[in-house]
Formats: sequence, structure tokens, C-alpha cells
Amino acid sequence: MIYNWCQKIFKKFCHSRAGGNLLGWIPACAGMTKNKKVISQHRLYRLIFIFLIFIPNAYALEDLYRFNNAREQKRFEQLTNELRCLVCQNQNLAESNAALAVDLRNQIYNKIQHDVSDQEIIEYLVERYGDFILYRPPLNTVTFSLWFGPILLLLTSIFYLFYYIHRKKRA
Amino acid sequence: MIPEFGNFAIIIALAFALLQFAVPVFSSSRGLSAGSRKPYGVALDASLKHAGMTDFLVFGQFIFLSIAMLSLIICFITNDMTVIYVRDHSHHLLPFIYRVSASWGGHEGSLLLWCLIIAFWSIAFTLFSNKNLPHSLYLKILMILGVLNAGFITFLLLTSNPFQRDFPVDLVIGNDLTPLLQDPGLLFHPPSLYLGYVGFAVVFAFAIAALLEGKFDKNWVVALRPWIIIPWAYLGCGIVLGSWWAYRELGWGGWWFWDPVENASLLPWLSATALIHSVIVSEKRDVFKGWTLLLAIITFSLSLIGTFLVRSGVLVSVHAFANDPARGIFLLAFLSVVIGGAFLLYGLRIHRFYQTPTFELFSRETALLINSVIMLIVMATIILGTIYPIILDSLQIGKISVGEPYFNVVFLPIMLPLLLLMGLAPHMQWKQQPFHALFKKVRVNFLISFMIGLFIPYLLGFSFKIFAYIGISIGIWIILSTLQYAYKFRASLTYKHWAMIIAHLGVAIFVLGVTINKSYSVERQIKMSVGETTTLAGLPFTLSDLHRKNAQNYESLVADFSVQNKFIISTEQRIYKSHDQTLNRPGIHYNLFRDLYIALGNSFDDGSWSVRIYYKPCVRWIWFGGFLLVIGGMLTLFARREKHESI
Amino acid sequence: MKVFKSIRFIIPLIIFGILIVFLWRGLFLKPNLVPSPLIGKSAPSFQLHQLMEPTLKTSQKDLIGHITLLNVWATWCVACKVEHGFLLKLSNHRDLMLYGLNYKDDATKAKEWLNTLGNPYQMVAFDPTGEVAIDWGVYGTPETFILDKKGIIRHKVIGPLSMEVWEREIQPIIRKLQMEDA
Repeated sequence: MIYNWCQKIFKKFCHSRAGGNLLGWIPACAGMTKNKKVISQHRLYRLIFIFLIFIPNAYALEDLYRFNNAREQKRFEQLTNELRCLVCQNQNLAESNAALAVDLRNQIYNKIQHDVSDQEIIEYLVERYGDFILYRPPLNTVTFSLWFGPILLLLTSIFYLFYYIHRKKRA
Repeated sequence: MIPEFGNFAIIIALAFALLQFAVPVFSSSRGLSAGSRKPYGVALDASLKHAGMTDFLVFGQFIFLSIAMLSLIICFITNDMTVIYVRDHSHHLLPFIYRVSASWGGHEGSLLLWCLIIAFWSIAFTLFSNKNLPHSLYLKILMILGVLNAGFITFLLLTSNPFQRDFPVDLVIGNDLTPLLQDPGLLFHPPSLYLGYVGFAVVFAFAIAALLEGKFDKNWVVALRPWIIIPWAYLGCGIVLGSWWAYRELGWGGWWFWDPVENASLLPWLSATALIHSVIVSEKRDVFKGWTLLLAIITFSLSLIGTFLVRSGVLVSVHAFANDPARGIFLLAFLSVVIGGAFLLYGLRIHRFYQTPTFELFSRETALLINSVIMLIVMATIILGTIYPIILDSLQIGKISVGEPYFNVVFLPIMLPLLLLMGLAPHMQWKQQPFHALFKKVRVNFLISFMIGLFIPYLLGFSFKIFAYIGISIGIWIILSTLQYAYKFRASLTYKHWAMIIAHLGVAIFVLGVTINKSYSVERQIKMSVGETTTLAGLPFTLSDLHRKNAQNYESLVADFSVQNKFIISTEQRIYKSHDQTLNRPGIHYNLFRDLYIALGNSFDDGSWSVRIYYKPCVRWIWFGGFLLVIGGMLTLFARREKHESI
Repeated sequence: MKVFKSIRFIIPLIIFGILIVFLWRGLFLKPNLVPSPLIGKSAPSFQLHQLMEPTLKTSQKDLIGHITLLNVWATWCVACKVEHGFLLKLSNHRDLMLYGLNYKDDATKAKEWLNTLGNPYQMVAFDPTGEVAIDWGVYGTPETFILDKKGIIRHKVIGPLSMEVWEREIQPIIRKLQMEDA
């Protein structure tokens, strides 16, 4: 009974890890403990054997882009998601298979490995391709109405609405 | 021969559409009274018993456009390569079902479908509209629909005739349908969308007719309701199908991209949602008539602007049809006249419908008015974001892109108050709602939802994220609020109640799906060879097999992934025989709570493959919520036969 | 206008009107074209091997001293083949230097291409990885940059060159640059 309870907690622990970190080695244990519960002795030994063979392979499997930590991976994902593939019809760098997209992804990866900041990477690309490559439009005088227009419009409309109903009701 | 039949059928339909506009003008001036419908010809069934000349013309228009569409489909089935449109979109190896759906896969064919559906809605209106509507109103609506269809058929004939032929000397095998479109989605997504877009033409015609008549009676509002909700449901269904299709096919697990064409389909839907709520108030409380008319015009205008954006080449999109400046100019001129005329008429005549607010500042009317306002602002925001690059480029200020990051940042703060309001409004009284009474009703609800929101991620084994917390709490808030409302009316639930309950629950489930999916998805990109295993979210994925498969028009390499030795997910890379185009089709395994999604990338020289594996929690809830909205909408079809219930 | 009872009611018409104006203007723009932010700036520095003489190197210094047309091309690019004939004609122009940037190509194939079809370039830089091209903001071949005597980029043409493009876009700029020197 306590064994099952411990297993459940362990599994939850591993799952929560899976949510936050992508290295994937702790969840492997979760898979392991679940199997342990329902299989026979013989199968258990076989499974441990397979586990021992394959887990090292799982570590050695080449992630397409290896990062030192989860934060760098997140930076890469965010940057490639927010940049336009210039040879495609409206796709981002993360999703495009075009040659230019692959090249630019590699460039971004290299820059992250060399500790270049997000801002500098964006500047690097904008210098060469212009603001068009950014899916997140820059915030400047030209795009001020783009970024703040909606919320200002919302506030003014709601206030005007209240004022109007109030005034008409008084009459 | 068949293409010629199709061509002539379109021309005849144009004649019918023009007559549909002209005949009521002449018939009313000849003294056929506005109050009766004189029978012409033999009665076909009860609804057609009093068919007038105009009804006959509508019927004729529909018949001939159906003949035209059927001819086009037959051309595709027989692969008649002398028709240029068939040549561009078909191939001798293309499977039967895709040949049929390819008939609306390109610009010309989809425009013919558009015209056919206008005729379909016109005929639906003649058959099913409320018989108590005054005859003059009825005729005006048909006239407007006739003009609209005449305009579109003219556009079709002048710039985009699907039956254009040429007779090449050499044997032509066809260009093939784009591999992305070779999916069952093409069979359902465009027709559903068009039924929605075009269905709003009826409401639009209604609004114009009402403005021309100079009045908008309460029973007209009652008659109007199904003509708003059914297209809204079809459009919603179309959008959900499109999202689901993109997810299944594109290989990145995304379900919404804020692509300009996607935005164009969302805009009329948002407007129609505001319109539905406005019509409910008009029906119940006899206010908001001006809003109803304005929103009716805006909704159809957005449909037209949407169709312009897709076909004119003004925006960069994966969905855009091949562009042609002549088409863009014609469409823009047409829609300026139609919509400009509509707004002008509105500006001139609306003061007759104006009503002083009879409700307090704090009441259900105000809440629903805020709903309309917020929906309009969301629409304005999406239009702003979509058009802004064009504005800057045309003013020669610069060239920017406005994409997903912008819309996500700007959309959410505006939707949030609306979602909160959604939980409040059903409990608010009409005319006047004292604040403390409302507070007492909902405070328990509010507390419970925000408490449960705290615990759910923990229970599911996820980490705490503020965005997820807010989203989940709001989803539960809407669910509890709706259930509380259902409980209050448990003795007398009608179809109208059920429609609202199911639709609002649909929204809640949608919100939950979006929140959980966005916050807790995990992915992995990895290089794998056969026999290797990787893990994601606690599950081991083994690339167990790679084998080839041959289908009618493609060859594929299928990669089987065994997950925990329990089930297999197959993903394939297809190479289409016609032009050696490659398409990667992801493999998906789903259950109620999560999807496991695997897609292949490129292969390496050593025989290994780059593989993307995704763990996507609650992604199906997004579409399930959408479908609930559609079902809720469709339930109002049954509501028509019931007496007025209090809501 | 007296006929509108309240200004509120023509707001939808006005907003719609503004929208139509912009959509109209938008019909005549090219949304896919990426304008170059390098115009007015000096050529990005690079160092590459020459395609025809692999032992020799070339850099941005080779672009200074004459009006240059830097043409980005590749053997896998269909449109480049289309413009090749025009480039050969252009190579006879006495004031212009035609400089090639071979983009992400195979050296053998590229050399063979030039030997068979003719070499219009005075010099060709070999950029197999495409990194230098990224510095120039290249996103799709063929692209042609017009540089002045000081090595400053003055214009970029996207797409294959032809007589029509030459007369419409390039010749006016070349004339202007020639007058600047005089």
C-alpha cells in the first residue's frame, strides 16, 4: 500500500519535471516504475536489461540542436518562432524547411552558443533583412498606434458607453 | 460538351439573378399588391403553394448554378484536361474523392461554389422564412440577394470562368492538386465556411430591406434569429475544421497561426457572435435595434472583405489563391459599392430606429452592449494588425510584418474582461441589476473557480504558471456560472436555454484547452535511427520500423514509432508521383486528455531521420469546445417551434 | 452635412472609406518583396575564394573603384539561366564591372556552367555555405546589387535581369552614378 503510494508520488514528481525540463532522464524512471508494478519477475529482468542498453542510447541520441540548458532552448524556440521565413508564404523560421530558413536557424543557434543576446541577434537580422523579418513588430513611433491602439480604443469606448447611458438615463 | 453546358448554365443563372432584382420593381409598380403573393404555375408543395414570380426566379437561379457546379465536378471526375481549371488542379492519378473536392480547390471553382451558395440561401429564404413578414420586405430581401449574386456571377464570367478551355496538341497530364489539399478536410472545410460567409448575406439583405422600409418590428427580429445563428454555426464549424486540418497536416502541431486568411474567417464570426447577442436583446427587450442593423451590415461586409483579401494578392498567406490584379480591382469596386451603399443608407436612415436607453447602467442590457463593443474592438484589432503592413507600405513609411506575437499579446487583455463578463451576464437582471445582489449570487462561484484553478495543474502533475492559472480559473468560472444558470431554470429548460448553455460550455472548454495546451506542451527535435528510443513526458518512443508504401498517386516512407510497447504511431513522408513533391504527414495518437504527435523532418546520410515529437495536453478540447458552439447554435433550429420563454 | 442627423452614424462609413483607400493602394504593392536595408550603406566586408581561380581570394575591396553589378546566382536556380543571356550582353558594357557571387553551389558544376554557357563576370566569389550572402541580405536568387565607385550599395534588383528591367530600373541609376563622378 505504501509502495503504491510512493510510486504514485514519484510518478507525479517525474511528470512535473517533464513539464519544466526537457532533458528527459528523470521521466525515464517514471516509465520504469510503472512497468515494475504489473509485470512478472522474468519480464522485469528482461526490462532492466533493455533499460540498461537503451537508456545510454537515449542520452547519446543527438538532439538536432543541443543546448546547455533549458533557457537557451527556450530562447531558440522563441526566436525562431517569431522570425519570418522570407522565401515562404507566411511561415516562421521554426516551421520552414527552406534552405534559407535552415541557414538562419543555424546562425541563430551558433549565436546563442556564443552567448549573443536576443536583442543582438534580432539587430543582426534586421540589419540585413529589415523589419519585415520580425513577426513581432518593433515598438517605435510608427508602430505606436499598432501596439497601443486596441487597448486605448477599448478604454475610450467603455468610458464613452458608460457616460452615454448615464447621460441618456438622466434625461 | 459538358463545360459548355456549365458555361451556359452560369449565363442563364445570371439572367435569373438580374430578373430577380428587376421583376419585383416592375411587379410592384404594376399594382400587384404588397400584401399577397399571387400564385404562378403549378404548386410543388405546401411551401411553394403561393410562389410568386420572384420565387420562381430564385428557384431557377439555384437550379442553373447547380447544373454549372455539377458540370464542373463531372469535368473533374472525367479529368477533362481541355478545361484549363481542371488541368491546373487535377491529375490522372488523383484519387476520385480529391478530384471532386478539387472542383472548389482553386479560385474559379470556389467562386462558383460561392455563387451557388448564395442561390442556396436565397432559396432557403423563400422556402423557410417566416410567412408573417410583409411582402414588400420579402421582395426587397430577394432583390438584394439577386443583385449580390448578379455581381458575383458577373465577376465569375468576366475574370474567373472555370470553364475556359483550350485544346492543346500534346497530351496533357495535369498539374495535380497541391499535396496539402489532398485531404478529407478539403471536402468539408470550404463548403462549411462558405455556407457561413454567404449565409450572412440574408441578414445583410434583411437589414438593408428594413432600413429601406423605415421600420424594424419586433416580429421581424424573431424571424431574423435563425438566419443569423445557422450561418454562424456553419462558419464556426468551418473554422474549427480548418484548424483541425492544419494541425493534422502541417507537421508542427499548431492549430492557429494568425494568418491573414484565418483572420479574415474569424472576423465575420466575431461580428456574428455580437449580432446574436444583440438580437437576443432586441427580441426580449425591444432595444438595440440600431446595433442589430449595424452589426448585420458589418458581418456581411467582413465576409466580402475577407473574400477580397484571399483572392486579390494583397496579403502574404499560405491560403491565398493565385492573384491577378484585374480580379482584385473588380472585387474591390464591387464591394465598395455594396458596402459603401449599405453604410450610407445606415447613416441616413438609422435615426428612425433610434431608441433611448431604457435600462440602467448596471443591467444585463449593458453587459450585452459591452459584449458587442468588445467584439467590435477585437475585430478592429485584428483588422488593424492584418492591414497595418499594407498601410505602412502604401504610405512608403516602411515594410513590417505583423504576426502571431503581436496578436497574442494584444488579443488576450481584451478578451479577458469579456470572458469574465460571460460568467456574470446570465445572472444579471434585465433593466436594472443592483450590484450587491449580483455580487451575492456569483461570489461563491468566483472563489471556487479561482481556488480550483490553483489545484488543477498540481493534480495533473504540471508546474504552476500564472497564465495557466488565470486561463483555467476563467474556464471553470464560466462552467460553474453556466451550470448555476441551468440549475436555476431546471424546471423549464427549453431548446433556447440548452443552446445557450451548450454554447457557453463550449467556450469554457475551448478556453481550458487553449490554456492547458499553450502552457504545458512539450516537444523534442531529435535525430533517430531504427531501433533507437527517446523519451518525452515520461513516455519512451522507439523508432521500430521504416517501410515503404505505395498508394494511387504517391509513394511513401512510413516510420512506425512504438510507444511504451502499447501502441504504434505511424508517420509518413510522401512523395507525390506527379511532380515529386514531398509532404510529411505527422502521426497522432490521441485520447481524451492529450495528443502524442510525431513528424518526420529530413533524412541524414547515415539513414537516420530528424524527428519531432510533441506532447500536447488537451488540444482536442479546443475543437471540441468549438463543436459545442456549433451544436448550441444548431439547437436554435428547434427553438423556432416553441413559444417565447423567459431567458 | 444636414442630412445626417448625428455624426455618430456616419462613422462606420468613414472608417470603411479609409479601409477601402488602403486596400486599393495595397493592390498595387508587392507584398512578398523584401526591401533591402543595406541601400546607402557600404558593402558588407567578406573574404571568399574565387570560383575560377580557387587559390586566389576576393573581398569587398575588389568592388571599389568602379560601378559594380554584384549578381547572386547558382546553377540550381532556374531564373538565373534565364537572365544569363542578358548578363553576357551586359558584360560588354565599358563602365560596368560584373561581379558574381555563387550562392550555395557546387564548385565543379558552377565552373562547368560558366565554361559551357559563357562567363559574363570579371570575377566570381564562391560562397558555398551562404554565410556571406546572408550578410548581403540575400533571400532568393537571382538578386543583383548596384554599387558605386566607393563601394556603397545604391540599389537592389530582385529577380532575373532582362532588357526591360535594365531600361526601367537599372539604367537610370547607372546614368546617375556616372554623372556623380563627372
